[in-house]
Amino acid sequence: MAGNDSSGKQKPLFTLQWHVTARCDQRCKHCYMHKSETYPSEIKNELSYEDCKKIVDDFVKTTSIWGFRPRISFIGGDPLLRKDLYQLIDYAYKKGAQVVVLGNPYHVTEESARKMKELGVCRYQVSIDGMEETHDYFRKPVSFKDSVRAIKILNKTGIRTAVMFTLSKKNSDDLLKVAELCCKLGVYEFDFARLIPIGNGADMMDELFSPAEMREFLLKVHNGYESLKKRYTTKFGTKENLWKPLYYELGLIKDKDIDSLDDNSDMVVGGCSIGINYIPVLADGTVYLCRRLPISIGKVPENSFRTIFINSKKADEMRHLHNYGCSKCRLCAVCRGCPAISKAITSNEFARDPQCWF
Amino acid sequence: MIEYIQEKYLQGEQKPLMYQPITPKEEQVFRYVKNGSLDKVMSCAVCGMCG
Ligand SMILES: C[S@@+](CC[C@H](N)C(=O)[O-])C[C@H]1O[C@@H](n2cnc3c(N)ncnc32)[C@H](O)[C@@H]1O
Ligand code: SF4
Ligand code: SF4
Repeated sequence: MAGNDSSGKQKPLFTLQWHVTARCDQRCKHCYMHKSETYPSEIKNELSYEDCKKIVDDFVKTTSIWGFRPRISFIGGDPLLRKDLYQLIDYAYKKGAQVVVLGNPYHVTEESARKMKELGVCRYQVSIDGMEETHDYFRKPVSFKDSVRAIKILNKTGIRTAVMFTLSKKNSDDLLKVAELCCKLGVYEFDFARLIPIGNGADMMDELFSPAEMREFLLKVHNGYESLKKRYTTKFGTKENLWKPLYYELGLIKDKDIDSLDDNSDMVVGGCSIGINYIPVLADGTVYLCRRLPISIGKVPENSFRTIFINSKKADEMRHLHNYGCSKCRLCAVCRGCPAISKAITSNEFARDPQCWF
Repeated sequence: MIEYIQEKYLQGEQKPLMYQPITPKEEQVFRYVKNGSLDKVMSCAVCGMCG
């Protein structure tokens, strides 16, 4: 099978996070896209269908040479606002990519969900950023109710649902309530990510936890998740890198676990995905190392993923541990904090994560 | 040369895509694919969530 290696083991995934459009029917208070440097070009120079096909071809071929299974996450803005999205999904799926969609709830209907299911979409993610009042404050009136409606339709259609929560001081008290709501709705996976104060979110610097508050918050969420896991089947993601220091302190990650992974080559093995198994492309073809770290490393389809990802000087720098402010930390090879937060707050992506207490 | 042809194709010339096999630098960058450590470390985008 194309997705397995010679020993029959499933190959790991390499994700293309593809912002196929910057168009959106919301203008969220925290959104990194609005007020960003690339936004005008993303709106004006949205990639054509022909260019998109070249990008799919190149991504699928390149990742298979590298030994991965390709995964394409169609995202926006709202990807469903692209008229040719179904054609693109069909093209990507038939080329062998796993296809997921990260979008808004508004255009999820019984018909669009059925269509996505038929075309091979295995997961649809919506955002819920708080209970109704808080969520609608960030997004817009009725957004919360519509997200719940969309989740119910997607579940009925048999597309796995995922919910992402963007964490700030303003909504932190709601996180476990939203997690429980997701459990009750039968959401497949729930996770959260910290607010990165860029784009519209640049005005929300005061909404970030201090390191001590961050630790206290994570401990509370850890205990909350453990209790929910006893009663529900929803999975709780652990994409937040600062789980690593907490797990280490709680004895859930041990020294021998880190030693078995870190090969002392001064190169990263996990944590932040930059330079590892993920590449984001913006609506005009600009390539970043992370969507939340606004540093351009090239442009597709003019350049190939291979040239960009392997030859980029910035990618190389970010793969080497000695460049990081926390390089002496026991956990650096498997964590690195979040360089996007470091960049947004200190202007230096290599600076120690300003929310890390460890 | 092969990289050159690949770049030209991506620029719109209708030539078949040709790709070199994995290079030593790529072997190093992706060494964790072979040694299996990627399965063991939850890295930020492994779940394909977030955005
Ligand atoms: C840009 S949106 C695109 C998909 C869809 N429109 C949505 O809102 O879910 C992808 C995710 O990024 C999150 N996001 C946007 N701006 C952010 C920021 N400044 N920091 C952290 N997450 C952010 C959103 O809340 C959402 O969960
Ligand atoms: S976070 Fe999503 S819904 Fe909100 S403005 Fe940004 S792209 Fe649109
Ligand atoms: S910089 Fe790294 S840890 Fe932060 S959001 Fe991007 S991939 Fe994740």
